[in-house]
Amino acid sequence: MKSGLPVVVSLLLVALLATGPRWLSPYHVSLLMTVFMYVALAGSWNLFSGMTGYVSLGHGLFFGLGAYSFAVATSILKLPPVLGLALGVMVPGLIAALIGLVLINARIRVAYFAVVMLGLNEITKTIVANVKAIGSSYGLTPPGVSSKYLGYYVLLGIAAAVTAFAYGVQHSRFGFGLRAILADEVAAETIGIHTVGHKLAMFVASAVFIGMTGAMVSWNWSYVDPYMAFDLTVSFDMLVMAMFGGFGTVAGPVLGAVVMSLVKEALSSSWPQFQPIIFGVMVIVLILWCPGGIIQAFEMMRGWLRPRARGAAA
Amino acid sequence: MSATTFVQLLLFGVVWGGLYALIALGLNLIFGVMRILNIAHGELLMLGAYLAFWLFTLWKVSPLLSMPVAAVAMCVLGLIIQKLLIDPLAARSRTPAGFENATLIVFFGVLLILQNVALLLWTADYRSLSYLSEPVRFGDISVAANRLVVLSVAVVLSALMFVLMQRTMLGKAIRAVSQDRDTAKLMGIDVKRIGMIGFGLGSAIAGAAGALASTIYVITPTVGLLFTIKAFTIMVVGGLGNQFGIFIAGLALGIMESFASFVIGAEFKDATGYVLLIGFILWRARSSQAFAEVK
Repeated sequence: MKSGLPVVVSLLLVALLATGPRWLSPYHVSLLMTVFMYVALAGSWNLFSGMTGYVSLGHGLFFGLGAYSFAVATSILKLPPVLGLALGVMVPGLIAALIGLVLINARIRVAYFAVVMLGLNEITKTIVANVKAIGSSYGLTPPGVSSKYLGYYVLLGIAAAVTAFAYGVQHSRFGFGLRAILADEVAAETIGIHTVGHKLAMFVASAVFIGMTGAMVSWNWSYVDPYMAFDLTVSFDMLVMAMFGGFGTVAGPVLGAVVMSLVKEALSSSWPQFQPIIFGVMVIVLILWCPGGIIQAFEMMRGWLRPRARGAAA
Repeated sequence: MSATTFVQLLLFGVVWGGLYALIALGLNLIFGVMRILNIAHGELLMLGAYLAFWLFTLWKVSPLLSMPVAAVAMCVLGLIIQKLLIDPLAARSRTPAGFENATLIVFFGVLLILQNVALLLWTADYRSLSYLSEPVRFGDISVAANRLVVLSVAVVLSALMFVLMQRTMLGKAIRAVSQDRDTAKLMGIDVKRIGMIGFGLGSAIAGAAGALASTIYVITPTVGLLFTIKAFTIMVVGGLGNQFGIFIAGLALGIMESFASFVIGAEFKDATGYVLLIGFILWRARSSQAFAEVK
């Protein structure tokens, strides 16, 4: 089996990371948590947008909904955090199903879908910022994490689960359906693939994972406000990271998220105010010269090396 | 609700609606000739608004005079973006869907760059200028003079756009390209040039609308996106390429928002248009322009 090695390596890596808190400094633990968060976000974004070709510019909506579901459940309804996490999964999932039933079912064109999502995130932000019952623009302060490394393990778990899910989908019959949709939606429909069902399922799956990430992050920070939860850069970052690694692949978003979250971290300690600008420039450069990201660059390099090697042999 | 309040709200709504319609006309023009949904459209408006603000604050230049300056500046910026980003993308993209997706992502990047550059240059402070803010009275109804100025300029500019599109050869060419690029090319229209003109003109309108908006609204670096979303709503509801429909939809959205903010509170004002959009999508699914192309 050709694909066996990467799976074994990934499992070993996850196992190694699981022991991280024992031998890493607190700084590195928190840095890794950020990395896991972005791996989860970029991977989830890729589940829908990368695998179906419908770019969503407002997936941060589900992050915010997850974060707020948790915060409202624990700080206003006084529910235990576990229930808060469960709500942080269910609320974004249900809302995604609702949005999907309207937009995906209507076969709205790609560009319109992207902008409607962007708008939903923005409108939700302005509504949340004005509703006093959920803290308006001051935000909420849910109780913090009780045990020290819980956030680390949960975020690692989500990141691993998203990646495993993407791998499972890619190697299933369902994944073939998705690739057919990506290549030619009309043709896919003609050969009997339930295109709406495929897209809807991936949309909800991506929202569920992002929602859970959002819930865990708000628990971990024990603070959430509308401008942070529904920040435009959340939607943007997951797109940039998935794209930097490579759209529609399993490894791409992981690689992209690891590299870019480290870049983000480095920038935010030296020039925080330039970070979104640099990411903006980066996405433009990428799409102009290397739309397939690291994975494409890697394959291009392999392509250049091969004929040279053959020439040397002859 | 008394009759006076009713008329007052209606008037407020019409003022905003006229401005929204103008912005949407620019967005629609760009979408027509370039097949680009410019989500950074509102950022050009924001820059136009800042330009008017600074010219007024530093040198007391009337926003009405700043308006053409903002229009020219944004036209130039639009053309630079077009030359630097859109042309190479168009040359590289193999499918129309690929191009549409790529431009969306590029403009998301442009949006963030412009927002954050504005934030660096001018901070997140709320800026506003007071220009002709003394009220004009018509019987019981009073309205700030600047709102009347905004309404009349927006109506005049929209009417000029209408004449340009419907009565001139250039307008005819723009409409032809919007309807069918390939056939337009066969008819001897320089599609690329029309694309440049359309993009420049659309950007110029955004700049002018920004200068207008600066007289009646607070300016922040993040003000643009809400305008883009509203313009998008109007474009979809009014009908792609349908100038008259867009103008009416713009007025309708303005009036709706005005009454909504009175009845259910100003904080939900921005959401009302979105309810309209989603309702429209549900209603017109599979039959309207919005859904003409699956992918």
